[in-house]
Amino acid sequence: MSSFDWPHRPVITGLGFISSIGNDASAVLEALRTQQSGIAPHTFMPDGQSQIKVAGMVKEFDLSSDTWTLWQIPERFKVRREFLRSLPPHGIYAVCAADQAIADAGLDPADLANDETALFAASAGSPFMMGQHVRLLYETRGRRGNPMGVVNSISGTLNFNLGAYYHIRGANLGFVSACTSSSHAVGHAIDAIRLGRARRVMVVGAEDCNAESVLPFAAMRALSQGGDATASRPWDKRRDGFVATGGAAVLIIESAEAAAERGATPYAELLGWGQSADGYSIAAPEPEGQYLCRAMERAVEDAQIAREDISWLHAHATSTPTGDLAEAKAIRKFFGDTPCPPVVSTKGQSDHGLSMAGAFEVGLCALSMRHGFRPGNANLQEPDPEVESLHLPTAPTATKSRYILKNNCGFGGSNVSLLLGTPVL
Amino acid sequence: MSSSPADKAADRLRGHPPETLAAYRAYEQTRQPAYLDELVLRILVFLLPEPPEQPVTELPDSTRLREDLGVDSITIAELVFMLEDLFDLTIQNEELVDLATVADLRRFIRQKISESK
Repeated sequence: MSSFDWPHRPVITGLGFISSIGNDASAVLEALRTQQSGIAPHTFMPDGQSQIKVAGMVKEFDLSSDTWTLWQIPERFKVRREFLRSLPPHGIYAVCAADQAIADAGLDPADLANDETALFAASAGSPFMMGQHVRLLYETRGRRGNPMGVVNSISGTLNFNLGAYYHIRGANLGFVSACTSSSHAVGHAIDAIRLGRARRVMVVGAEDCNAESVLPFAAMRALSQGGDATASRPWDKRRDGFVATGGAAVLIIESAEAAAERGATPYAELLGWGQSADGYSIAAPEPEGQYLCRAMERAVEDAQIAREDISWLHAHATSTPTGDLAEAKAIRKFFGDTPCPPVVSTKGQSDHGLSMAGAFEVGLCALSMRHGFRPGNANLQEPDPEVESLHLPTAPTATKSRYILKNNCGFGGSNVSLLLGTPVL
Repeated sequence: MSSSPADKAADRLRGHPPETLAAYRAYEQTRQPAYLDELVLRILVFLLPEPPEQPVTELPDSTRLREDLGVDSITIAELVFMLEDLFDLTIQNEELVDLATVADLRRFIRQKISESK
């Protein structure tokens, strides 16, 4: 069954971003076109002694206090006051991005309050908030705890809060597969729309980006120890780990007929997707990339398109030594004798947002498709000899995209490939 | 870490309207129950999506917490969490069941604090 045979075809009609490279779609678009970096000096520790020197921090917001009453949110964003104390930092970002995405789709928040709208959300929860609650529980010998301690910290916090915030009644569920979490959310949104189980899905990916959420990755030796905006350099010979970021990305995905009824112009059609698992390691990718290759094969089979028609591939490549190599091998294997199209990782600019990465990068692909350009591989100066067979353009380029294949990979060997196509109007 | 009760209260009430901390301080200095009532109601209305129009000091005894003010069970839990911290109280769940009006709330908190002395 090709994507054109499904009774309902999913399209992306709204985008919202709170990110290191911009707090709305136009700022993100401008940053992509000019290859402006979101990476800046940041140590996560008050004494500045952390071995981590840079991060992709969200600008304008200050949600670093342990007291929500002291949080600073730019005035142009309106977060309902009664939700402030049940939201973690990334939940605040998520509401700000969701409001943008809803408006961008030409909708009103009230349009989500029905039985046909679903919320698919992804985050790692907030270890920052959790840490405060656990500390208080120990201090009071278990006698006292914050009543909001569960709903503003555990994985699922986005679902608890945003489901209530927007009165979503179709379905409300979360995805926890590390750096493929929100990619899985997009994939399952495709299925839900195709099967007629929802007319509209709001997909949310978000992360805090603070000491509690980021520094544990340094303990795994997964973070770059670079000290400037070039620290994230996917595919480069000198890459030494990823640079963390946070924020939120929100996509409004709906059936083509629901969009057409409203006269909404889609950014892109979601033509298909594939997933697979390495069954190999808790964190390292299977080094030959054979299962990521399988996810890509499943995506093109699902979409029923020929791989030579893929305009370019948006890679997961996070700038880790092993991850980029495994993905390069997977891409080579996938294209085989077919000429390999340009391959781009935007993480040199926008860093790695973990659970947020999939939704965020699908959003970047959608922007690129609508505005007729392809981003470049920022900070790629000396390609690793083992990836040289890939076509890795460094500069943003004006080009029309017919199909974009989008990869994400997560701990535990989780792989997702999504296929975006130019919308048929 | 904060040490004195006054320091602790100032820390716990960070970001609340200044009148709330002023009511706490006035109560600590005078032990006048009216200041305690004001403190409790100021904390409560700060948690509400739509605070009442009239000043908290003028809320009638008969004001219903749920129906008139929109207080739900989690809001009560947050109020209690704050009061337990400010006055080093322990309040059990079953003690909250019968709180229906502003008068109930005033009476209950006054009683808990007098018992804790």
